[in-house]
Amino acid sequence: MTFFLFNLLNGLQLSMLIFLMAIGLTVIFGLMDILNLAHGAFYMAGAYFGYVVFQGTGSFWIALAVAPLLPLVLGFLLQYFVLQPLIDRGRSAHLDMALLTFGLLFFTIGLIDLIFFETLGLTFMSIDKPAGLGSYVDIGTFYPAYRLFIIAVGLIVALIVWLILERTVVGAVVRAGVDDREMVRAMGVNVYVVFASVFALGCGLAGLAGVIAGAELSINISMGVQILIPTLVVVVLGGLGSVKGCFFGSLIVGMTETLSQAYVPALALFATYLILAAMLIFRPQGFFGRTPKSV
Amino acid sequence: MTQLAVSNISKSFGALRVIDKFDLELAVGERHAVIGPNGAGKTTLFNMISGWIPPDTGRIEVEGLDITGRSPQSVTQAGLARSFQKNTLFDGLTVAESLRLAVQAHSPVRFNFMQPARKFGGLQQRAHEIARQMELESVFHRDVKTLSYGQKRQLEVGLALACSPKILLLDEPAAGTSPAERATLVRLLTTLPDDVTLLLVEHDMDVVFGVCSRITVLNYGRVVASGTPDEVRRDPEVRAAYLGESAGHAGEAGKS
Amino acid sequence: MENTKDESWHPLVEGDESRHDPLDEVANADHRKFLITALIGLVVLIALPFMVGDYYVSLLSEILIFGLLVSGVNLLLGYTGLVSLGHASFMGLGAYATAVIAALLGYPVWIAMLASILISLLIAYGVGLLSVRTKGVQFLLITLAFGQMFHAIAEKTRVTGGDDGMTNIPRIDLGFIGLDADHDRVFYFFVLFCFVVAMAILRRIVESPFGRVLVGIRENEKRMLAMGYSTFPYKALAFGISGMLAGLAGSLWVQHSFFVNPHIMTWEMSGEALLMVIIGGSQSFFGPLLGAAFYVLAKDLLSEITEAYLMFFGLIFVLVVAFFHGGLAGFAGKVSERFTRGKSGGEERQ
Repeated sequence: MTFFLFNLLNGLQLSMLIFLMAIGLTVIFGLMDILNLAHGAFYMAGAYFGYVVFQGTGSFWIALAVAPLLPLVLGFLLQYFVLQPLIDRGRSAHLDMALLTFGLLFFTIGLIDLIFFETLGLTFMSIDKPAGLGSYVDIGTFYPAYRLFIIAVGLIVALIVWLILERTVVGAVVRAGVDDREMVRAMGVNVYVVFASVFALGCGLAGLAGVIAGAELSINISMGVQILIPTLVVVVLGGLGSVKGCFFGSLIVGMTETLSQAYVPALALFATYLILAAMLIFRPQGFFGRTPKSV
Repeated sequence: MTQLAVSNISKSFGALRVIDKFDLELAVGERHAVIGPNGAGKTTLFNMISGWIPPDTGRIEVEGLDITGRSPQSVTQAGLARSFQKNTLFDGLTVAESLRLAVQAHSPVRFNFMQPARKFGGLQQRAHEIARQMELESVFHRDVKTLSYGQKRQLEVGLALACSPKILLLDEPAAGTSPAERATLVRLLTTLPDDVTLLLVEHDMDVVFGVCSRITVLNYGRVVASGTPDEVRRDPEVRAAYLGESAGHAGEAGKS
Repeated sequence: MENTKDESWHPLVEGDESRHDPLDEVANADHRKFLITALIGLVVLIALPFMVGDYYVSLLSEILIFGLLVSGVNLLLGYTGLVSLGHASFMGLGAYATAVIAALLGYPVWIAMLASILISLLIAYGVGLLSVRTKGVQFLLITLAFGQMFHAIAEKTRVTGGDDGMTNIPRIDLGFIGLDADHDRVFYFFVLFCFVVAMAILRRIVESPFGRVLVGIRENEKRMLAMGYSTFPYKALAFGISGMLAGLAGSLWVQHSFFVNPHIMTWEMSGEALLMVIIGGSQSFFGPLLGAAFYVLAKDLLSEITEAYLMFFGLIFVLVVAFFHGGLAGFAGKVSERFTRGKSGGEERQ
């Protein structure tokens, strides 16, 4: 029983980490039709910059507060000055931007490799957990406090995102945009600023996930790709553009990965992909996705 | 002889009944228009007849062959080809390549994957014939995206015609065209082969009265009137529902 | 049930030269241009190994092998408009099939190769049946998912060495013509032979009515359906053929390098294949080959300076997608057009 609880919490912890990634990805896709494959790069940016800040200040909390700002700003610049102008010049948001951001992911991996490994000689790094969260908590089983912290952050972010989307004017604009992009354009809102801000926030959350992961998992060159794939699965499962779907999708993927690893290791590498493939074949619009218009 | 028989088809989206027990019979070679104000259900009707939306009830037959609920491609193979209200063209191809694709769709060579397509001169000849018919000969080798809007509308009709259909469904072929382009279109549509049956949705009354011999008026998914242009023009219900408002709606009718 | 219509207007007789339409001079001129380009390319590919050292002969083999892979990827990406992120798995499939049949089961390599091609065709066709129901981003993700599954299988399978893979894979036995494929120059010519045969077949396919349907699907699938094409079987078969080319590439790759491990099936590998296609120029027959050549040579050059070669490729990739949609081939086409005539085949596809 305690083993099960332990795994359940682990699953929840992974789910929340993936959720922090997926929420940005799915809202960006819903609003702008851009599948931002560079999301993994922003996650890495958060983790590596977090490491730098941590080395400079010695404080986890400062790193946690400061590091997401880098992907946030980069995300804004990327959307406002690169992606949107290209879409306006006739590049398809759907495929060309997926390819472009894919190239950007490769570029970032290479750049980080060049700076941290080839120049500084660093391979596997991590950020120290803050005092008080480095120990174990007795909740029927001894469980790492830091992982409970990750779960809490994920739930809080989910709540905040939900409140913003449901209760604020900006949220209303974004929701309207996900449902009907033309309508937002017609509303006379400065759409490009809204787009870039949402893009930036999504990237900032990816960066936040990066810093948090940097203290639990190791910071290395393949971390971006490792998290990106389950994130993509979540986004498809939940339905591209659906926040509710994103939350439940994260739970499904996080739990599947963790529980299959614990109980049926032989299946662990496939389980998530099997779910994804089945999903795309039988219900390609996702659990909560809108049915695509046929004509 | 009946070419197209639509009997008792209905369609609802949620609580909204878009088409209500619609009937239509077209004789071979008939030129028939469906008119009605915006939201009358014309597009839904077209989508059902051409296989893009399955009707909730009723039956659609082409020369006695039941095509109800078939896929668009299968409906087209049964001899019913359609055009679209919004240009649905091959922007990256030339006019010749586009028309050839349409012709090829109804030729046994469409599954051939080992012989160069350029060896099948018949396809090219037929494509050229259609281009001549649609007055696109001078732009035959031009990229579709470089055509004028009017020429694109002509190609839109041409692609449907190149499928050698028995029944041609044209969805607002004159939408968005200038008066001069419209005149060309009317000329082209009146010279369609006699054995091709034409069903037309159109807002522009010059096109409707210039091309069609029979008209069905649709309002809120129901047939309000059906008959010759004169009969329809005199029908009091039509005047109330549609033509009577046409003064106020003239601008709107032109744009959509 | 499909077609009961009178076909009498069809004046076509297959392959009848008298029906050759004079109107179609454009297509014939394109074909001549293709033949000339192909011939020049072939002469260069035959002459090169006699002019460079052993190391570069090996690189040339790599270029041709990747050329097969990316030509397959491009049948989907450039011609049909479907972006696959899982094609490395079919390359891996071909590689593992050859390794298992030749090294483990001890059959002659030529049998292993034929079997690999067939296996990759069948499995790719099966995956195609499932995945071409979707398109766009969904298609990209489902191919990624299938790719990851195959990768996981390769990592888990013990008989093929799991994560370590297999070594000592034999090369084809060319003893019957008195040659030894263990010499890199000999093996290069064997690869070239396979390459030329495969590319000739691929050219026939893309020029056929079937190939034109694929282009139509890329340009506007909705219209294709409205004109009466059942697009699904076309897309599934295109997927199968493109997987088969990747499988052939894998079968040659494993002989070239004498070993195989799951790394060949990673999605980074699929991504690099996309990189080659885009950099070289999709929607052009030779473009992806230029991309493969550029990729292999640039990687070789860069890796002497830095391990972080991905940075440069990522950057080039971004620039090509953003600013040079035609890639290297599009660029070459524009240049050659400036030197020859006005409008012709160069702009045939954008």
